[in-house]
Amino acid sequence: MKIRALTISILLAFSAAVLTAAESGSPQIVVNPLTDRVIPQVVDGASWSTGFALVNLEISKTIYWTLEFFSDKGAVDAFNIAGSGAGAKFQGFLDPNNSTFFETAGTGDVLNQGWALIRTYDRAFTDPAATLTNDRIGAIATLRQRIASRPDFEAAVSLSPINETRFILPFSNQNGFSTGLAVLNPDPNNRAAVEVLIYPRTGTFIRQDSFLLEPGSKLVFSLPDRYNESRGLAGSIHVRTTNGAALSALGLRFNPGGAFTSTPPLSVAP
Amino acid sequence: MPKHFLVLPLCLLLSVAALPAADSGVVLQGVVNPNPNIVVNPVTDRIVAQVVDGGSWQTSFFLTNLDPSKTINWALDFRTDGGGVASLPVVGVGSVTRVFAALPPNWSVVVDTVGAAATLAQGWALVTTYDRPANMDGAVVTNDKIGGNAIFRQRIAGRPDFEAVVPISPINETKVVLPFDNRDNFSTGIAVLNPDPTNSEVVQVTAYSTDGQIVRQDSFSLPPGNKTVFSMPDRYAEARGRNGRLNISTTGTSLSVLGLRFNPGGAFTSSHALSTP
Repeated sequence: MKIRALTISILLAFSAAVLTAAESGSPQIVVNPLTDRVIPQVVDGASWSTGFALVNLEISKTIYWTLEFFSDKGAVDAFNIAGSGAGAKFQGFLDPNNSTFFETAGTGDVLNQGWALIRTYDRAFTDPAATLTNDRIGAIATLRQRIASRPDFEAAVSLSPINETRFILPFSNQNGFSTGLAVLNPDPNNRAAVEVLIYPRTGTFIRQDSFLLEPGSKLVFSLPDRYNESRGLAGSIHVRTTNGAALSALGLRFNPGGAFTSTPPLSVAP
Repeated sequence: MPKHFLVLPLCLLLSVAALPAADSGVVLQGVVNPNPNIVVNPVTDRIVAQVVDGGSWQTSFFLTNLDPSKTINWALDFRTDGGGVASLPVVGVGSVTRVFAALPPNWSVVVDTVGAAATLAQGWALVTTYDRPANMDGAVVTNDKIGGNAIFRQRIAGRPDFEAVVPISPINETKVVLPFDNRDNFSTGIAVLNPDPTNSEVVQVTAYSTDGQIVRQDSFSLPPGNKTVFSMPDRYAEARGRNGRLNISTTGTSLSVLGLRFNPGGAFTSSHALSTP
């Protein structure tokens, strides 16, 4: 597993934690389900922003972490962090009981959408001897939409490991509600062959679909838009890979008034 | 924590309603039972730490069968914040303390509280699966794979509905961490539940600033089945205008914790507790 060296680093202070932004032309993404963790949806611009809260869940040790942004097509992507500037990779450390909060600026006119990967190391990852660890770091991302003359809408997304090959997501497209789904293939090297089955409440599937997700890419869609058969219905969407690839996913439930909330997928043992 | 399984006493059934859930083939049944025998098993039981109905609030439960090969018999039991049995109005069923039904493979069901009452009723719920219909004599608790979530909804005329989703999760946690952020007039609300029906829990709470300094320590006792809900900046003045983390632990057997993040405009979202060793 290669460790990428920083080409540019900008030190930023967020309370006691030191957050470092980095830019790089061609990073090597290596995903390890034991050590890596994914935030499958990150948004910034066009009224949207994403807040991050990272906490050290270890009792007695300092955690060195990195957070890397990728576009929905799997390319390295820079996000603008408020007070810090744009960067594709940020790093910091958290002593026991420490936490750090930062957020994207949300000021751009164009929506930048992607995903983020969090990893932990035994020392600052810029140290050539740094190796990945399985330290316990917790994170919550908050997706926020801020439009003048109405309350901000927010949805919290938990950080999760990426060792799932199948999951089930409840959906409801009734009464003007709409369910959105983000399906991510976090593997940087291999395609994911994804199969989707949509079941109404009564259990006989009404739509089957399959698609390929390129390495590091994500597909985001509105369920009733992509699958006309699901309009006006509630039920469950079953997603799995047929080639053993791991997936990360997130559901978003939009109500007719424009508010939204996140719906975590339900893990299903093979 | 009791390790035995619950056998449902049929004699306590006072009334049963059996109606199809809205647009679903699942037949929901309800029970009014003033004195149930609650037994919590972390392996088999699942908690919805916050249930609300009335006073502009409503809760929808979405349950789905995660086992492709078998029908799952499930029951949803309502509890008050004081650990007693709660009767909630359920759409299509009536006011009941328990809702139960069967879910064949790939089926799912939505259970909606009515939300029409003028006064807010607040509590929690327990999801249990059985080897046969929950109302049958001899029904034994199982470890079947049922999944789902609960959606809290606040509906006030003239503004969009606000919603937050809370997963239905096992109750084998004794230590959790919850990030909080009370800056810029945001406010973090906390619900701490002791789901154990027989033992009190002493809950330890420590609020840390982002740099790991203790902002406030607190401890309180939660009697069996009790839940406490509070606004963090209201209960802990030291946390006003600050962000950081809240460590919540018990020396007992189980704890269920939910965070709610309220923004100044009135919208809210759930904030999930993070498991820690």
